[in-house]
Amino acid sequence: MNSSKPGIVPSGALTDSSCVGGIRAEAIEGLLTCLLGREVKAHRQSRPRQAPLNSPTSGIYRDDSGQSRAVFSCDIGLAASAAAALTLIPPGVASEAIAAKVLTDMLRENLGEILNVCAQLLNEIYEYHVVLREVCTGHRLPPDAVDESNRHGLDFDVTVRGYGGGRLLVLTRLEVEHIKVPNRR
Amino acid sequence: MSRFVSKFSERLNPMKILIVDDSRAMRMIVSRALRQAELGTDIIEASCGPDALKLLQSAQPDLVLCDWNMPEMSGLELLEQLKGQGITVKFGFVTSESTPAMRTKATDAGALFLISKPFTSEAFAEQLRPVLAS
Repeated sequence: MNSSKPGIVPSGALTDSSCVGGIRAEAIEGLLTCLLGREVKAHRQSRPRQAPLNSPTSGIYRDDSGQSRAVFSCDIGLAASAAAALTLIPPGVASEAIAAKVLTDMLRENLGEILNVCAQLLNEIYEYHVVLREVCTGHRLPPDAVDESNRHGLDFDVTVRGYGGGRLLVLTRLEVEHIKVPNRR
Repeated sequence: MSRFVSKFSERLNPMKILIVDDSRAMRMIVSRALRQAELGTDIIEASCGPDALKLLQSAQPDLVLCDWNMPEMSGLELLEQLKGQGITVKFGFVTSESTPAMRTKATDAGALFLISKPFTSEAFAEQLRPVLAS
């Protein structure tokens, strides 16, 4: 069935959630374009790719009871580009972070704010209310972050104008009954 | 002419705006949006509720723009403390949280508005202008 272990940012072998609604590329573009103040393009792969994310940073979203509901994982390319664009840090700083495969403290803080705002993407389509609770660097996640047997994923390419981009992997629990209006956006 | 007078009077008596947010990035973004909209040339910042309380007493801002979720003291708790201490100041939330329930809580507590993140500088200015003019 699924070879990825719980607590690891998975790659591939995810159920494509397009059949049940979920976050759409247009919603990501709209939110990030507004937040970063520059054009952002997002394109969803038809199915999640097998290749693991390069040096990922992940945000874990929990509902009011503390249960993990979703994980947003960015590779280093997207993380550095978006984080730099947020406060107009020169693109060269993002390039250096990508080359070194590590975010500076300021880029990490900025990425945290971006992931924080991204909670809206979930709150708009799901009935439960989530907030960003943790930001993790690397492939290891808290054991309860992603339910092995009950998850679906969306794999996006996201580009920030003037900076660059990378991959965004969105993992949510497959709970169709909690979607407010499937394929609304 | 009236525009000139308005600008001139703003320079003589600039709006003092306190931004309260634990995120340095968001303080920077809100500050930038204020400058772009030419609202409030005197901007001060606090990264937490307790620091904001001190600044409210010493700097006496005209307006507070406050995040909702902060680790030490939430924005709502800060607003309630202000009321408890009898400090009167125009107060609004700038937050990624914007459920109807939260809007109600904010209004009930005395907030004048709740601006959702993210925002464009135009939308931000549109919401703030009437508040600052009142």
